[in-house]
Amino acid sequence: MENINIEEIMAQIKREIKEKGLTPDMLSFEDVPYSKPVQVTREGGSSLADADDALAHMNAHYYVQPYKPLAGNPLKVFFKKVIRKLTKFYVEPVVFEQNEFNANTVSVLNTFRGAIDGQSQHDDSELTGRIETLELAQKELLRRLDKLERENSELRQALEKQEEA
Amino acid sequence: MRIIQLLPTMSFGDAIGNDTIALKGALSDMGFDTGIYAENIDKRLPSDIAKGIDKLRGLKEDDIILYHKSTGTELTFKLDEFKGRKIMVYHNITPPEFFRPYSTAATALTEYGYKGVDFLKDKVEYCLADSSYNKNELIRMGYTCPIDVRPILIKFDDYKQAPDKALIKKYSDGKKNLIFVGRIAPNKKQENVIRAFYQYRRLNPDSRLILVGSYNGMENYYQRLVKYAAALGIADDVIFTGHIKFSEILAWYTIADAFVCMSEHEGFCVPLAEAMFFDVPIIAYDTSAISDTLGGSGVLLDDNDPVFAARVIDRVLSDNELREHILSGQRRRLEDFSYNRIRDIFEKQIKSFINK
Repeated sequence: MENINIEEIMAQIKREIKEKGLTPDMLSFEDVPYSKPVQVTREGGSSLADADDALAHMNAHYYVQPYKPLAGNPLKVFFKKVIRKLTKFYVEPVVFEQNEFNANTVSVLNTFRGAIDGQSQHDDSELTGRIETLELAQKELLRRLDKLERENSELRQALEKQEEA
Repeated sequence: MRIIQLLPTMSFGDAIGNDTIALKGALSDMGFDTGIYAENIDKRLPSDIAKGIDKLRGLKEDDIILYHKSTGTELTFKLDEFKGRKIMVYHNITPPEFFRPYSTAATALTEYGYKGVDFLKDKVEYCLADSSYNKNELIRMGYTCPIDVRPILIKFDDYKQAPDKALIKKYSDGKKNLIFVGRIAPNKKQENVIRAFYQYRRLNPDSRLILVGSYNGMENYYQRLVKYAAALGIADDVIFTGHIKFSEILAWYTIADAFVCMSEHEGFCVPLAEAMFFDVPIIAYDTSAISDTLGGSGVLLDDNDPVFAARVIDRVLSDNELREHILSGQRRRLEDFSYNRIRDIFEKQIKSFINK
């Protein structure tokens, strides 16, 4: 066992490979498709997830209350109530008009978002179908390849026997 | 004087966590007042093992901080704010280029990690590197402080636990089991292990490949590997275990006939030492710290050609004399990683640093 020289064994294996002309002859890993990571840039735009967060916020807060609860000492509250009464004729119609506009905008955005989801599901199912077709085609090709390899091996054996004879 | 260890995350059962715990024991045995402080502590660890960084108070100028560096973290940039002499324990960071095609998060994290290593260049007085490869990397990055090599401390006692019996029974079926252990990651080049196995299977169809390791965070790469094995027609004989229990890892080592490593970047590669422990012959592509860890044992491939790798695997598995020669070399090398030997190395290094 002391005489074992691993480097010599490695060199011998390399010589054998060279003499027999063996090559990997196989599918390259680089040819295999894969999902690339999605680049999310804050400067250039936001992702769909960010847009969903914003839409959820809009759904929750599109209705604006014209008046906030009044705080402070009783004298301050009294004066604020007076001011509120005096400006009511102007503030209320503007706020109600804004609320109507907000409600319509949110409704349209929700419809658009739903449409994007529907389109995405359609794309996914189309893609899945194509993948399945390709996988089946690949399976069939592998089966044919396997058969060819077996035939090749049988032919080699027959040839070797012929040469020996 | 206190000697404390600092790291961003104290994980349960990982190589760095185990090393940190072992070093704590060694420092305590040497009579030092010591402790581990981390930003995140795995709840499965005993409560007295580590404390939160917010509990780290009262450090003095002559105290020593051993900072474990292995990833991108803000903590690196805060190290300067702590009083005390700083030592960096460098476990290496995977180059971001490996992750770029698959994960923006991992790419960003490792880029940040390298920025941290660059930042610490003139802030640490001394470095301990897991391997000569790691030491040379620090020198290349412009480190001028003294750097010594101290192999990682491995808790071999943990490997004496009972392996998963059901798994051993299921796969002890006469087929040759080739394994590689390590998270599914592009630097570990599992595709080249698959390529080598594909070629080996032509020599011995009665064989299988088991890729042991989690693919969390590397789903894109994992899916590509699965597709590759399927496209080569060997999907049935290539097993991806994903994250598994420790007893199952032990079981795979127990029934392994060869450990095949084609990794292109390792700072130490603990699974090599684990394979030595389980008496599994190692066939590994000679890159990064692989030859440092093997230390002349195992079989080093100077080429990652799959035909060459397959023929070497076949030779190792069919030549009993060669196999025994490799295993006896690995057993000798394993002694270098014993707790006492590395503890002695560490004691000399830390005492020499204190006296400077």
